[in-house]
Amino acid sequence: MGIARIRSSAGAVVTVLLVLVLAACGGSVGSAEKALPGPDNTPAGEPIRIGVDLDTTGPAASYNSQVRQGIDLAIEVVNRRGGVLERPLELVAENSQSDPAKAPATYSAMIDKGVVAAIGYVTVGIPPVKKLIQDEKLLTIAAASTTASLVETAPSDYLYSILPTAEAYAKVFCGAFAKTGATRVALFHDDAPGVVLLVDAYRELFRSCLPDGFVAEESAPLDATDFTAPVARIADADPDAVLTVSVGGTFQAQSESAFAQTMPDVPRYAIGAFDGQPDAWKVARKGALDGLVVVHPVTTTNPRTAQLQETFRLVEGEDFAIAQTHVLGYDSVMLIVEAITRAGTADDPDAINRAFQQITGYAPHLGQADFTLSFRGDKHVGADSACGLVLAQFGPENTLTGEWATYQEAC
Amino acid sequence: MTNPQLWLSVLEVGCFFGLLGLAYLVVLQGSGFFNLTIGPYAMLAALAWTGLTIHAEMEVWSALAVALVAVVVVAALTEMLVVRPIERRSGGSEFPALVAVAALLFGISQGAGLLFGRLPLPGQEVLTFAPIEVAGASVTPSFVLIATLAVVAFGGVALVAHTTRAGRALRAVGDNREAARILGLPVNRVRLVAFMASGLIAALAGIAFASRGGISYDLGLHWALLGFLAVVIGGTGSWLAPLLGGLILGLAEVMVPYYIGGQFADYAVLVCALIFFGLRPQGLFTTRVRA
Repeated sequence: MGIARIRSSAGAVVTVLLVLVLAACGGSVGSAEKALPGPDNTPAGEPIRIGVDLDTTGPAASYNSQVRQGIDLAIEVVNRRGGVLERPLELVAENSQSDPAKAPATYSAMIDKGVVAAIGYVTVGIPPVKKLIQDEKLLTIAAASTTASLVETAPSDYLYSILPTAEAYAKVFCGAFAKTGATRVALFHDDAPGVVLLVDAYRELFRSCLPDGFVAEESAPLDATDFTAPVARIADADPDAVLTVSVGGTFQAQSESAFAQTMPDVPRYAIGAFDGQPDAWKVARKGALDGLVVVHPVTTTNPRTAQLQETFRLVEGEDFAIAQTHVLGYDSVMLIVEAITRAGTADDPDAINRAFQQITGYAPHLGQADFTLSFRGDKHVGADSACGLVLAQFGPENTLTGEWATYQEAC
Repeated sequence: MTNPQLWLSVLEVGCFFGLLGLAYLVVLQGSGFFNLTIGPYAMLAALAWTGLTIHAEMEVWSALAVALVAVVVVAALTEMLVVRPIERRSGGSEFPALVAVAALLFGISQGAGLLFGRLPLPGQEVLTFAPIEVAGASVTPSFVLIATLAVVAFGGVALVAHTTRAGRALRAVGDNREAARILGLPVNRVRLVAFMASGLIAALAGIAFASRGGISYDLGLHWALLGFLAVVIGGTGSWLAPLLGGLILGLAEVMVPYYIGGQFADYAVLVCALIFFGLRPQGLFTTRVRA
């Protein structure tokens, strides 16, 4: 084939590819970003930089992008109302791709760019950088962490978390199991590093209501192509409930489909990020999610959650549905802003840290209406109770239908 | 071993791996090149079809046509703009082109993520009917689709390869490119057709499998490895060899987790690979050479 013919053919195929690209991008036409209403009082001047480690290209990309949406909205809200100490907030976003080996470089990059605080959303990236955070006195919020030891074991003077811990999750689900009479519970989980760590903790924590432990425990790789085998093994154990711990995504959509097909009458519960992944719900077979009970900490019966969802809808459109991941990004920024404002300076890391430890009764945008966060020198887990966890249930259309009427943990 | 649902899963998963392996074999036989981007082709087709349907609100069958054409075009571009020029510049050596194609593998995956998003999407359903209970197992639309596609693809490729002039040319070029060139065969055109045909097979496989459990941009590498292993295990001595390789892989992926534990699924695939790399690198079916 001559050079001219190759070029001619290449030109034709590039044209076809452009059609594909334009068609794919066509979905975004007409969905241009809207602005928040009201005056824009964003100050000029030297910005105050806050950093975030978000996995936007690795295995957690599907829900980390929602965290970014929450952070961006919070920064816009803060800037439009006048910034912090009359200075604009600016985000420095880095990506460790959920790889602990990349975390030190990620946090070093943030520090080199002058951040005064950081949101460490990639939980598995925190342990390798605890010493760095301590040495640099970098106020860091491990926003997705549910492990108390992460933020309470030295070095952790500048490290905090927001969410109720694994102990609270076990308490809530034990309450659910007791309410429904489930005593033979099977556990299923994926092999994501954070999930494996959580499951290690849950094995002991759930002994408070399951003295003999789980009747079956199975796992599958996050990229598993088939779930027939682990689901069949769980079915062989004849459980009266199944608890799945997973980062969600197609893993959970497919596994729930397999459970619904093999064990349609066995109640299912889930811990993880699936509740905030409407795109993943559509991957499950029709009706496969019906009856699944999940922790869905964002409920519009909390007026703050409802208000934040309306604010999001001004920017993201009327179809926007708020998820925990959006709120964690939003509230993390607001907590940092609160600390800097109380400290009166963005240049003294110890002052910012002391101010952070004075935050009491902060009302976050997730959990039940009376859920609050408080921090002290000896309390680095912000959650004041387990009522930050709200149980919700899926319906036959594979969508969340609201709070689970059977049981909720009291504040 | 008596759970019929497990065996249906072995067949379904095995046929998918086999189809990916067939795509590898077609391009290998037709060009002598191991095109590692087979997995991303499969992913891109499935993601493009569902992405165009959902995000661009394209009519579903038009979106399918665009997705299939796009993948075939990408496959053609791989040969014309990556493999052929690099092989020419490196004096016929395959290694630089292999490295370039490995880089392209990641490029296609990340490009698909940029175009269609990084959230998982549901696969489009070609067949829609409630699962049919047969002998204690549920026969799903995705199983029927994948199994049918496997029969058509393997049968079709074998028929074309053995009964048509184009098929004979494909085999001749794959066996010995220079000899084929001397004999006057249009080597470059045959190579291009091989790439495009393998892209089409991979695209159809990806679309069929995505109807089972959805699709996301990061599945391309995983599928590339599985298809490659299907060829390693099955060998290259028969057009049906990748199917056997795929079924053996499917057996490992389903039965090992059932009898030993779900966390050993990946290890089962690894052990399969090590056994065949170490003991039978030519695979189960080898090309017979007359003495």
